[in-house]
Amino acid sequence: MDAGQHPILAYPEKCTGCMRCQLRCSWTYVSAFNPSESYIQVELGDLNRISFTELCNACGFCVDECPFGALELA
Amino acid sequence: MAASSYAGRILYVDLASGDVQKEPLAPELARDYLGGAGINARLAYDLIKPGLDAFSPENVLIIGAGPLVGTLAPATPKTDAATKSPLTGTLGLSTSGHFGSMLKYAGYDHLVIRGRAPRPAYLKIEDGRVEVCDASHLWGKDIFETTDALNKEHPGFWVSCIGPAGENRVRFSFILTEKQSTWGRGGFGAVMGSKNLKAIVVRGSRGIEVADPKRFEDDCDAWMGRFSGVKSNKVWSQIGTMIGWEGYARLGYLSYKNWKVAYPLERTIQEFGAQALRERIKKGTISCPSCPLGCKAYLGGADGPAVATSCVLGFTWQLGLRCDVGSYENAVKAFELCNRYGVDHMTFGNLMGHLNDHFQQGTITLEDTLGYVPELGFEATMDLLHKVAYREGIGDVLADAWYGVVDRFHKGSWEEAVQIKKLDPPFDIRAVLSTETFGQLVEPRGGHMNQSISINILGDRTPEQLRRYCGGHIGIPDQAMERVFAQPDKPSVPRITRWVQDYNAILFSLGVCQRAPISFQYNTQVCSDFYSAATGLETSPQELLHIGERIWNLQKAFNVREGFRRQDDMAPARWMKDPLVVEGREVPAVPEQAIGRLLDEYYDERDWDLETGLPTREKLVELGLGDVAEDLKRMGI
Repeated sequence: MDAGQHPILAYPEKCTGCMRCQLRCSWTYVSAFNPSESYIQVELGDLNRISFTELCNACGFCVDECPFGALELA
Repeated sequence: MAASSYAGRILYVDLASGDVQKEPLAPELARDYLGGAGINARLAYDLIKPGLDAFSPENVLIIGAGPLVGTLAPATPKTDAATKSPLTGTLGLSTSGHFGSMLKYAGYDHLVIRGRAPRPAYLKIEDGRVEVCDASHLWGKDIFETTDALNKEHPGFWVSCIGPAGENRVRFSFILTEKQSTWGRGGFGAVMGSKNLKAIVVRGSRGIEVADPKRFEDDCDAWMGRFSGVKSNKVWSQIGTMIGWEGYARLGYLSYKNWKVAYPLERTIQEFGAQALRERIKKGTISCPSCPLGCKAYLGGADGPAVATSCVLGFTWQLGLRCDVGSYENAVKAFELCNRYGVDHMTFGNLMGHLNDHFQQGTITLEDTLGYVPELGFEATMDLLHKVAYREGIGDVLADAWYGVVDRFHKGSWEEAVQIKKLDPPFDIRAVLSTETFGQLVEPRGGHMNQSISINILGDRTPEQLRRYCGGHIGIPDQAMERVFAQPDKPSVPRITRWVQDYNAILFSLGVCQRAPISFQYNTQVCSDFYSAATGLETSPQELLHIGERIWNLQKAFNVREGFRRQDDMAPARWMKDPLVVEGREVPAVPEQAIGRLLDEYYDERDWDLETGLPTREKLVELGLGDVAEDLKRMGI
C-alpha cells in the first residue's frame, strides 16, 4: 500500500533511517525486534522509502515512536 | 546457551577454503566480556598470534555487536571491529554505526573472518545461508559503485565494502557500510583488501527478544522521555559534531601547517562554521539504527554530490582547514572522494600537512618526493588522494603512512612524525588537558580518543561538575574519588581517564553510542538496568565497571605481546617541544617530564607497573585474566 493512500502520512524527507518505527511495530505485534516482520518498512537510500504492508492497522505506535516527525496520523 | 537479546552464535568464515562454522556464543564469554568490543577483544587475543604481519592470511577480522544492538534501546547501533592493525601494529579497534543490527537479525553476534580468498570475493550472509561469492565484477570499483551494484544485486541487504585504497592495501584505508558508517582508522580496509575480500553483504529476518519485556520497554520509554527534554539535542540533530566547532577553534584544536598554528579564527567560523553548514552544505539528517539523535548528515554543495558523514566536524577540519581546499563546497567534494576511495581523511590531512611543511622548510626535496611538488589547496588534495589510493609515485610512499614518511624523508627518525603508536591523534594536548587529549596517549589502538570521551573536551568544566560526573554518572568508588580529587580544585585528568575508559568499554561492549548526548543518558546504573532487562542477567554498576576494566586490560595485553611499552605511550615530540600559535598567542608545549607525570598517575590508577606501564600479574589475575598473565610470563614479560 503506498504511503499516500494510507491513514498514516509519511514524510521521507524527514526520515533519518533510525528504524525506531520498525522496531516499535515488530515489538508490538510479534514481541521481538525484527524489522522484516514490521508492518512499516523503511528502505534506506538517498531519500528513504517508507511503505506499509497490508497488515498495518494504523495503530499509530510508529507515529508516536518517530523522533523526527516523519510520520503523522492523517 | 547465551541469554536473551544475544543472537547466540559466532559465525566463523575461512575465505581460503570457503569453510563456514557457526558456534554457539558461550554464556561465560557473554558474562565475562558482555559483547561487542569486549568479546571482540577476547577473540582477538585468542586468535591473532603475536608478531603476525597484519597483511598475512592468518590475521583475523572480527566484527561484533553487543546485546543491546538491534533492539529499541535508544542509540544502540554500535558495531565494533578488531584486527591487527597494518597502520599501528597494535590491536586495531574501530566502532561503526550500522551492520551489527542486521548481523544480529541474521542470527550472529560476532563474525570472524580468516584466511585469504584465492580470488576477489564478497561474503554473503542471509540468516543461516552464508556464501563466499565471486567479486571479480566488483574489484576495482569505488565504494559507492560497489555499494550500488550490490544493493541492486541483493535488495534488502546492507553492504559493507572497500574501495581502491583497501584493494591497494593503503595502510589507512577504511571499510564503509551503506555509504555512511565507517570502520575508519587503523587500516581495516587494507586488511580486507589483503584478504581479497571486497565486501560483506548481510540480511536477517530473525527477531531479537529480551528477558523482561515490560522492564525493558519501561526503560526505553523513560530514557526517551529524559532525552526529549534536553534542548541541546535539537542542535545536535541540526549540525551534528559541528556543535563543538567554534569552541575547538578558539582553543586551538583546529590547527594546520603541521600542528604549528591554529587556522585563522575568522575564516574558520565564517567559511566553515555551523551557519555555512546549515545554509549551504547540509542536505539531510541521518541516524544510525535505533538512534533518536540524528547527528549524521547528508552533504552537498550547490552543484556538488550528496555524501553522508558520521562526523561533520572531522572532514571539515581535515580537508577544509588542514588541506586548505578553499571552500566548504570543495571540502565536501574532497570528502566524497575520500569515501569513494576509502581513505581516512584524518591521516591523509596530517600526511599532506607534514609533506608540505617539510618541503617548504627544505627538509624534503624534489628528489625525495619523486618530482612531486607538494602544495595545499583543492586541486592538490584531489590529485594526492588519487595518488595515495592507487599508490602512484609519491602516493606509494604516503600509502604506508608514517612508515613511508619516516623511511623516505627522515632516515628512520620518528622525531618529526606527529603520531602515537603510528596513528596521528586528533586532539592537541597543548590546547587542553582532558581525558580525550590524554587518553590518546594510552588508547590501545594508538592516537585516537573515542574510548576516552567524557565531558571536558573544552576544558571548561568546574571541579564540582566533574565530581558529579565521576561519582554520579560513572560511579567511581569512594576511595578512587579521593585520589581523583586529592587536589579539590585540580582533579586528576589521568585518573579520571582510567574510569572513563572503563565506562566507555562498557558502552562499546553493549552497543551504546558514546556521543555526549547519548552517553550522558546512559550512566552505569542505566547500563546495568538495560543489560539486566535485556538479558535476564542481573548486574550492577560496580560489576560492569569491573568488566570494563577487564576488557581494557585485555586490549592492553594484546599490545604488550606485540612489544608495546611505556615509551610508546609518550606524546609526539612536537607537542612536547614546540608551542602552538593561536591567533598570535603562544600556547606552550607540554614538556616530556609533565607527560611522564601524567602517565605515572594513570598507571597508578590502573594498578600497573609505573616503570614499564604494564599490567601487573596481580592485576591480571584479579580480573580473571590469569591465562594472559601466564602467556606474558612465558614470553618473559
